Parts: sequence; structure tokens; C-alpha cells
Amino acid sequence: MLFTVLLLACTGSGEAESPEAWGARRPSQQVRYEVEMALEPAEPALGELAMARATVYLRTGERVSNANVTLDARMPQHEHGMETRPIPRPGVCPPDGGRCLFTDGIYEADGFKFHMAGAWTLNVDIDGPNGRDNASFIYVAK
Amino acid sequence: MVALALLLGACSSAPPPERAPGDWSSDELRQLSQLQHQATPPPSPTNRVAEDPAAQALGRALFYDGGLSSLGLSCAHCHDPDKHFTDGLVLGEGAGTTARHTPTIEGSQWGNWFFWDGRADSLWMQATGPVEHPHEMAGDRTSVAHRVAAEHRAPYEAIFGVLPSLDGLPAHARPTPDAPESAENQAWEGLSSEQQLAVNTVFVNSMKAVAAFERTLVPGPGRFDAYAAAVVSGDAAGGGHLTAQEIEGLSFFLRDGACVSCHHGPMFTDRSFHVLGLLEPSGYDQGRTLGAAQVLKHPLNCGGDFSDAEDCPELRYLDSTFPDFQAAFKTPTLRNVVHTAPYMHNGTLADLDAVLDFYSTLPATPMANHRELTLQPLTLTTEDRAALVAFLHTLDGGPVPASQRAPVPTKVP
Repeated sequence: MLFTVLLLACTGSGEAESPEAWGARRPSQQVRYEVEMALEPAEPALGELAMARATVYLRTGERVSNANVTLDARMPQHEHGMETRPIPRPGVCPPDGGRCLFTDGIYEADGFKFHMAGAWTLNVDIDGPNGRDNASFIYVAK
Repeated sequence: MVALALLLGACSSAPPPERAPGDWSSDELRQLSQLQHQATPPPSPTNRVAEDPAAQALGRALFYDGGLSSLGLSCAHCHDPDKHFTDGLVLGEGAGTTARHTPTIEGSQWGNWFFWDGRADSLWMQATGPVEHPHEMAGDRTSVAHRVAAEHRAPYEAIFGVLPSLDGLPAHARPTPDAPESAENQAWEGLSSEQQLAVNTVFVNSMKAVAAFERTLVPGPGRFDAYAAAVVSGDAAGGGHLTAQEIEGLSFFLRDGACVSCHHGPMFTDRSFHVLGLLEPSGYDQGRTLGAAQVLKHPLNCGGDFSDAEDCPELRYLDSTFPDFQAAFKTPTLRNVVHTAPYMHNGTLADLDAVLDFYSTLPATPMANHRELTLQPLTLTTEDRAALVAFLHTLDGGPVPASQRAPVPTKVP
């Protein structure tokens, strides 16, 4: 419990995180879900295009399939977002053209670009079986 | 308990201890490594002849060929090798006066976007613009095709294959969608689609050759690079390549000035766009907002029929509605910066002193949008200014070599 509180405190500081620190699942803001976050490449260079991947879980540990999940990034200190508009990957789409499904709880988007050095907030907005919630992760672009 | 202590330490907001100039932290050493000179530019997937020495030679001949312009103006008229491929003027002067300052093309190969507003996404697409711009070279693609057929046929055909027939083509014709009644546009509309394709192909191939030459315009390494290589490899004295004042300037550049926030990477530019909020004597300039919209719909972009690229991720993800593109302009390189005055997209800062005056006080309020929030008045002391200027001199890569200058004999119209 203390560990969780400290992690959240770090999140608030906006300076102490790195992709290594994202390894553990993180509770969403209203604790409706838990979220893992990753970038590919893991630490993209300034100006390099990257893919962001969020894995969404229920608090019971079960992966959340077929939620509406939006991934985005902003630089709060500079009051701006990215110069790019990430495009979500479609999940698994049936050959008959029906709804694409995210059966493994993994939600990905391409086109993340951190064009300035400093702290970026990666936002994961989730609309799923436990309602709407969001989680955020700090990435310090160098 | 140890983990708890480490975590608490990581959360601490205490500032790091102040370091002396030249006593670089691990983060600063990484920055110095990233700033080091590179001799080879990144790939150019839209241009299949980008690395072809024959294309580079043809491009060099074309770059210095005044016959591409109806007024005898070559690319070198504004991009003068004696001035590190700038013109020394506030605004470009070709067939008329341009709206913006002429930037150097040294090191531009490292960028994803070209022109101050990034309205081109390849060097060759960029090169097509000035040739036909009525205030620059005032040429047209059909006369370029005729010129290539008359003066550059053999090298062209060795690279791109047999030139298409230009028989029956008018001397001058080009599309001018904004002025459909112009004589050049009327002549262009009078061509068959096959003739238009032939002209466009010769025009684009010629500009791909020009771009292949421009890729060779790599600024030389300066004393900074020798210093950075030494300190990155563990020599704290940096091989003695910089003076104490120059190291002090570099320290200010990385630390208090945070100049490196935008001037990073091997060409000292983030290749991105920022709002400085300069005075605009000629009126408001939308900058990147228009440039982003233009490049997305331009037929010569990475996704167009003349591109050799199989994928265009930069174009695909570009958000032309990004609010801070309004009045934003591309970060220029700082290599050879002491030779490329005046400065900024509108050429309004006459020399380095004026640039430092601007960053020291950040005068005036932007006409639109807001100034990049990372910018705060630097309030430079006399010592700071002298150190920064001294450091910028260490980015002098030496004179433009003969291989980048006009071939002999130079083509004349």
C-alpha cells in the first residue's frame, strides 16, 4: 500500500519516471482498471516516431477486451501536445468486415513523436466494463 | 527498506548540485554525444538516386546552371557557396523579393521538412519550388526540360534513361492553379496528359539530381566536435580543443540557456517548428500552419506519384491542426552560424549580438499564438554573451570545399 502511494507521488512530480518504472501495472485514476504502458522503441529519440501500447486489466487481473481506449501525449509544462496525430491499430478484424476486436486487452497506436526534450504525459483514456477512467505515465524525452 | 529509500530518493525534487563548466553530468555527456558532427546524412527514401555519384554530379551542374531560370538565376544566386549557401540579405532577392530570409542548405539533409514552414517533405520537392517561384528563379518546368535536353542530355540519360520527346512543346509552360488565366498555365493546359507527364518526369528527375548534390553539402566539423569526441571518450580536458571561455559558453548553451532544447542533434536543430514571437515587419506570417496543410495535399509529396518511397510515416501522422504550428518556424542549424547572418525566418536580426539581445529580453508580444513556453528571458551578462559567441565560433566547419562549388566550366544561359 505504501509502495502504491509512493508511486502515485512520483507520478505527480512528473520527473521521476522512466519506461523501466512502467513495468508494473498502475491503477487508473479512479482505480477502476490497472494499466501497463510501453513504447516501441522503449525510449524513442527526440523526433523519432514511436508506437505506444497500453495493456488494460480489471483489478481482478483479467484483461479488458473490447474497451474504447484512446492513447495520447502532452507536454504539460509547455501546454501543448504532439505535432502528430497517432493512429490506433485496429485490433483483430474479422474477414467479413465486422467490428475489430481487442481480445487480449492490448491497445496500440502508431505515430507518437516527442519533438521536444522534457517531461511528456502519456494519457490512457479507457471506456470499458467498469466505466470511464484514465491513467497517465510520465516519459522524459532526452 | 532499500527499495523504499531508492524510491524516496527518486521522488526527491532537490536540485542537482551545481557543476563547474566542463564538469559534465552523464546526461550532458549524452547530449554532447548527440551533438557531434556526422558526415553521412540519413537516408532519403523518396529519392532513389540520392546516393548516386552521377546524379550528384548532374545535380551540381544544375544547381549552378542559370539556364534553369528565364532570368539567368541559378540556385546559387541565393544559396551562394561563398556565404555558406546563404545570401547575406534580409529577404531573398531573385526575380523579386521573397517573403522570407534565405536559409542555408548546409545540413538540411538531416531534416524531415524543408523551407522555413516545412511545406516540402523532401529536398527534391523543395528544389522544385524556387525554380518556378515568380519572385525567385521565375522559371518553369517545361523550360527546365528543354534546358536539360539541350545542355545535360548525356548525364541525364545515363542516370534516368532516354529523355522523352519534347518536340512540339512550348518554350514555357507550367501549372499555376492560383492563376489559371496566366499564359504559362494556358500553355500547360494545352499539353496532352502524356506531354505533361513527360515534362513533370524530367523536371522531378532533375530536381532529384539537385537534391543528390545538396546532400553532399555537409558542413565540416568544428573545434566543438573534437572537444565533444574527447570528453565523450573520457578525456575530461576535451583534448584541449576549447578554451575556458568556449567551454563556459557551451555550459550556458546546455544548462542555464537551455538552447539545446531546440538546437540538438548533429546539426544543432531539432528539425521541428517553434514560435519565437519575433516582430514581423511585413505582417503576420502563419508559418508552419500553412506549410503543414500545403505539404499534405501537394502532388509532389512523399505519397505522390513521383516519390520513390514505399512508406511515408512522417506525412501519415502529421497533424496540420496542431495549435502551436501557428506562426511557428523551423529551428535553423547552428553549424557555420557565424557566417550566415542575418538570422531568423524574416532576417530581422542582423547579427549574433541582435540574436542574443532578443533571447536576453524577449521583446514584444507575438502577433498571434503564444511564444514557446520554454523560452524565458535569459538576462545575459556581458560575460555570458561573450562566452556564447565564443562557443558558436567553435561550430565553424571551415570554408566550403571546391567539390561543393560550381563545376568548371559553369553553364551559362
